[in-house]
Amino acid sequence: MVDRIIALDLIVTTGIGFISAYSILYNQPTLLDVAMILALIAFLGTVAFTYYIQQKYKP
Amino acid sequence: MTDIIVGVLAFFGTAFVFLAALGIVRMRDTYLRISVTTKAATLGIGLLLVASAIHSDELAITAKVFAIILFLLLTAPVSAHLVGRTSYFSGVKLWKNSVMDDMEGKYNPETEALGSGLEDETENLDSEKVAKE
Repeated sequence: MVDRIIALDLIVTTGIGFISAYSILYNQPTLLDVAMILALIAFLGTVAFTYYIQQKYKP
Repeated sequence: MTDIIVGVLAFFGTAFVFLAALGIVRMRDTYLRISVTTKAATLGIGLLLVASAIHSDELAITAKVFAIILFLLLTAPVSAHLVGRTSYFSGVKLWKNSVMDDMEGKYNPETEALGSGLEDETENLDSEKVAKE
């Protein structure tokens, strides 16, 4: 279960990498705004998922 | 010259992201996966973003890139810590060949009580004091 959170985090982080490579390749640095928002959403998503898993396993 | 620097940085960034992806496939348990993914992905993304900043050569873009890198460097350890804490508390086992478990005996799954692991020693000290008196 927790492995999926790690995988999701890695997928989003790799997405940021894709966006920055795309902005180099096609010379469109405006797309880096999207990368910033993705980084924010990845962190918030990880925090929310861990919070709810911890709630589930509370005795 | 700029193209060469951008190429080298982007190559190393991609290589580190690839190592992170390899690590999440090959590592044996959750804790090792957390360790590999966080470090390699953060370094790889940082290098890719710096390459993008050098390529664009504008102050606004460079500032934006450094904001993203700073944010990643701040949040990656926090989220890794949260995931590790959650997986330990929800009962994910360590790999059978893992050498040490620092939390062993310091966490009670029934009461969710966390301790330093030194409570027994202090109790012994107290009982010794009582015996001396």
